Order: sequence, then C-alpha cells, then structure tokens
Amino acid sequence: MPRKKKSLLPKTSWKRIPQKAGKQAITRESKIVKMRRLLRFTAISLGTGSTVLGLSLLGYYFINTPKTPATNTTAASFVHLEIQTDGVLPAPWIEFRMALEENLGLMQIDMSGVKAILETYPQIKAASVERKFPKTLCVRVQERFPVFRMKVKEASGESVVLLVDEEGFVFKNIRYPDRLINRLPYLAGVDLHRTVDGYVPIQGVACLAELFHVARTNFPDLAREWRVVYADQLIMAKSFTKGYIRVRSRGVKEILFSPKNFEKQLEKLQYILDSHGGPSVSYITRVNLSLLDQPTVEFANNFHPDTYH
Amino acid sequence: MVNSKIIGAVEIGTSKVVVLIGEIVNGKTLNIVGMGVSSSRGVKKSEIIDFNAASDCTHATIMAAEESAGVRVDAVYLAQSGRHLDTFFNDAEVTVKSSENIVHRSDIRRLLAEAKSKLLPEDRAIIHHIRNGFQLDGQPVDNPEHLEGHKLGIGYWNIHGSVKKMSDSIHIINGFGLQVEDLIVSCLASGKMVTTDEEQKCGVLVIDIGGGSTDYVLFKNGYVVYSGVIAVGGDHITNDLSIGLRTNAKLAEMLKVKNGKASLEPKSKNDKVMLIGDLTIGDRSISRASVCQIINARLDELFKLIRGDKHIAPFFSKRELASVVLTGGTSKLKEIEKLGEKVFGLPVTRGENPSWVASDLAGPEYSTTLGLLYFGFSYKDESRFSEQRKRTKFIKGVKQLLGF
Repeated sequence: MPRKKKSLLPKTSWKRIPQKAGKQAITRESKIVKMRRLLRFTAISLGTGSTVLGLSLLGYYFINTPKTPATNTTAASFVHLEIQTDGVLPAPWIEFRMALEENLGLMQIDMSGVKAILETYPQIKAASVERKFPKTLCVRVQERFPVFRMKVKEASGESVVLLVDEEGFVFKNIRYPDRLINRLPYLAGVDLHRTVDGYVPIQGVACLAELFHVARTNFPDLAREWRVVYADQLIMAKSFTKGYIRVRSRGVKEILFSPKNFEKQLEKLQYILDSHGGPSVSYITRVNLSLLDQPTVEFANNFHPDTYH
Repeated sequence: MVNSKIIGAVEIGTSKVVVLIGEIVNGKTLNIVGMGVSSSRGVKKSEIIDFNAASDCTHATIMAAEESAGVRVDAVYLAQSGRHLDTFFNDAEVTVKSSENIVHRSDIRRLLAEAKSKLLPEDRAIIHHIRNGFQLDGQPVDNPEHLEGHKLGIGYWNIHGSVKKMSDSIHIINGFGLQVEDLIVSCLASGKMVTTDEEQKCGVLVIDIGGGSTDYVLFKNGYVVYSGVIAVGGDHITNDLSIGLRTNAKLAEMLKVKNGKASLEPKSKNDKVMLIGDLTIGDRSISRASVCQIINARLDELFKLIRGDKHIAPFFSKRELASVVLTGGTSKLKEIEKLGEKVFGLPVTRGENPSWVASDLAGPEYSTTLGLLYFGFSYKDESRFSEQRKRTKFIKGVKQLLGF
C-alpha cells in the first residue's frame, strides 16, 4: 500500500482546502476556457506529434539514402570529357587516372587536383584541365618522348628498362610500343640517383639527344645502327661543350663525337663508313670525329680488305 | 531576460465583482495590465448564496479582464469577507535556551511554532497569522536574534473563517480553471492601500464599507491589532431608502448615489430632490431631509457598532488612535466624514489610493483589489507551507503550455 505523504501545511491553514481547478465547468465562460484549453492542447499535441514524425521521417530518409555529393544539386553534371594527348597514352587510361566521381557538376571539379594527379606520372610532362561550357571538360596532356633507354637493376635485383627524354628526365615506359623502344640506343656512363618518386634528371642529355636527333633526321642509316651512347667523357669534362661523346654502333665499336657541329661530324662519318662498305661495316673498330678536321679511323687487327669485299 | 508573472486579484463583493490583472516583472515592478468589473449576483452580505450565479458573474469578469489584458492569469489572490470571519489573539513565550542567554534562530522557530499551534474547530481554517512583534523580557524588539534576554515572547493576531464559506469562493475560481494562490481578508488589503506606514504606527482604524458588509481593521505601532466584520453595508442603506421612501431598490440606489448625504446641513433642510429626475410616470419629489435622515440613521448605527466593539473601544477611550479612514464604495457618500467625526470623535478622512494608481482605479471601491495585487506583488513564497508550490518550475511550465 502506498504510504501517505505527510503534509507540511499547518493543520489549520485554509490551504488545506482542496482546489480542483478545471475539473468541472459550470459557467459559459469556464466552458469556453476549457474548450480553448482543449483545442490548444490538441493543437500542441498534433503539432508536436507531426514535428516528431517529420523529424523521424527526415532522419530515416537521410540514414537510408545513399550519400551523394551536395554538388549534384548545385551544378549540372558535365556529359562530355575531351582528352587530347601528344603521346601514346590512351584516353581511357587518362580518364581512369583522373579518378573523377560520377555525375560531378562541371563547376565542382577540382581542376588543380586533376592536373596534379596526372602530373604525378613521370611520363606526363604537363597537363592542363579546362572547362568548356556548358558541359565539356577538356584535358590536354603533354607527354615526354624517349630519346634513350637505360637498363637498371631494381633493389629486388630485377632488371628494368627506363626511358630518358631529351631533358634527361628518366621515366618508366607506359604504353610506348616495343618496336619504338627497341630502336632507341642505350644511354650509358651516367650515375642514376633515386628520389622519393623517381630519379634525378641526368645532366647533359640534351647534348646527346641533339646528336641523336641530327643523326636520325639527316643520317637515318647511321642512327639505326647505334646501340649505346656513352655520356661519361662528357660528364667527366664537367662541361657539355668540351669532352666527347662516345657511341657504339652495331658495326663500329667506338665512334667519338665532339659536342659541337654534329652535322659536319656525321657527314664525315657517313663518308668514312660509305667508303668502307656502309654503316654496318665491321672491320672499323674506332672512328674519332672529336678532332673535327682530322678524323682518325682504327681498323681491326685482322683487317684485310679483300675479306670484306 | 525578462521574467514576468501574471497575477489576478479577485474580489467577489455583494454589489460587484472586481478583477484586476497585474504583471510582476522580474519580481520588482508591478504593472496593472487588465481590469474587469461587473455587477454581482448570488452573493449576500459578502457570502455566496447561489454558487452558479456567483460563478457566472465572476467568470465573466475574469474573462473580460483577461481579454482586456491579452494575457492569461497564472495565479489568483482572492479577497475574503463576510460574517463567518472571526479573530483571536494568541501569544506565546519561550525561555531562551542558550546558557549565555543569547537568542538563536532555534529559539525563534520554537516560539513561532508555539504561537501558531492553537487548534481550531474542524470547520474553521486560519486565513492570516499576523505577527504583532517580538518581546524580549517584556521589551518590544523588531528582531531578537543574537540579542540577550531570558524570555522571548510574541503575539499573533489570527483571522480565521468557515471552511465551507471559503471553499465556496475558492471553488468559483477553480471553476474557471485557476488556482487560488492566497486568500486575503478584504479589510487588510484595502487598509494597506489607503494608509501609510506612518499612520499605521500612530494608530489608524480603516473602515471598508462595502455593499453587503463592513470590514474594519485597526493598525497600531505598525501592526494589525484587530479586525472585524459587520454584516451591514451600502445595500442596507439602499434597502432602508427603498422601504422608507416606498420605491424600488434600483431607484433607491440611484437616489443614494445622486442625492444621498450622510448628514444633513440645516440650510438644505427644506430641499426637494426628484426620485427619477426625468419627470416620467412614477417620478416624484422627495424631501432631501428624509433621504439624509435614513442614510444618517443607518451609518450612525454602523459606526456606533464599530465604536462599540469591545476590542476597539479601549483605543478610543485611551486616545491611542490618530484617525479613522473610510474606504469602500459606500464611503463615497457625501458628508460621511462629518458623521464619522461626530461618532468616533477623531479626524475621519476618505481613503485615497496611492498616487501611482491610474485615475480610473483611484476610487475607494478599488482599494481592496489593489491591495490584493499589492499582496501578490510582495508575497514571499513560503514553499514549506505549500504543497502546490512544490512542483518544479519545469512541470509548471509544461502544464501551462498545455493549458492545464
């Protein structure tokens, strides 16, 4: 049985008279007041109920709706991605690497972010991202073109072929065809230094590249025979205008070039080799063109012109 | 942040119901924001004789007041009057407990409990315990705490009433969905309004002549010394006029208000007054002397009854009163002060409400309701005596929001 609460009121106070406010309405006014209170109570209850229900539904909707970026509602999604490249990287490869979210609005694309992502790939020299309103995102990629190749050993002991562009930038091959790579001469006589995300660019490659470029353009038969280009003597000279460039071709073991006036040197080399049977002549072991006006030619010890003609 | 409380003062009188609504702002300022007045029904000699009729007019007046204020009342202070009220004086004395004879709070608590412990019959309930000051070894003191003495005494003037009669008026308020915060005896409320602290110290008798009853209270040394009720009021004068002049009560009331005087001046002995004043059928001239004599006779009797009250009479004989103040609707009768001075032998003035009251509330008929608001404003919430007030503010707020 519940214990009766002890009252603190004095036993004789009028406050002991029970007050039953609102229990019964006998007058017109009190009925009006009671009705108003009932209506107010109903309105507040309905209002509170509908607010709670609304909030619950809203919460349920938010919890159960997959999260989509708010940008959808603020900008129209772009529908066309225009990718241009001057190299070999295919557009799907670039699009995949850009990692753009689906249905992204044109104005919501982080253009500098996309550019930075693309430029993390060493083969990509530069990238530009541009909005073309109303619904096109234009991406232009400038790739590095390999001039030489290098064979290096990874930490794991595995040999890999790296490519070097005319600026001496070293990068791994992405999608360059083997037939193109196999035609490139190896670059030798250089020290390769690693960085966090690649290699330190090789100094002096521009000079070698120029030589190779002149050879490929003007004397393609000669250039086709070149197998290794040595940069050690050039680097040792500590000046890219001094020293010499050493090239090993399929026929001649050592061709020395001065780092100046390549065309003239190549002309002389062409003349020398033509006069001895063509670029793949095998009994000439060394041609020194670095002396410019006075090239020297060394023949093999068992040289006998009749054997070759 | 502004913290406001809306209180209502309700006086269910014999001739009219008055409701005032006040807003207490931050417990410091009282603004009177609403008012409702209507003629009363179902009330005779300040006691409810027809619950439904009294409820009708009271509820209509509260509603009118709430509509004029544009707010809902939080708590009601209700005036109480009528013949059922009675008083008694109760004193108590305790010996100071401490060995150094220093009065501690525990001594005061013991004294107060002792003084209030007087039991009453089942059907009676205390409305007010009015403290009449402490006495330490027979000497009056304001606050005896930390003073040195042997005997600590106190006197309480207790006003009590019939539980049934009080329940009736409380239930009328309850019927409107409101709770009564406090009951206040009419004469105390009006007495506080029409007298100053200085007058109360010097000794003043306040007579509140209402429609159905006359309440009076005697202040001396700043305390209430006595209060009483006589079931005679302005309605009796109207009734006398109606019988004496052979006219109906309505015309008699008009005659009283328009041409009534409490004492007759010799120069207007032969004056005639018109009963209605518009020369319609039934209008006739009446001797002013007749009207005045009837009023004079009733008021003279009333004043003599008060003067003859055995509790008050000694104050007149010892000349301990400075003045008599008249208030209530009937005190507006002309020449009533002269009659009062003649009967009491003291300066008699018509009570005036404080100057801060708006002009439309300055009349003596509003002094009781104004006094109720004043009590509500200065009310100290003694929560240990109130079970209702134990509810937390939060629950109160929720209930108010939901309209209960």
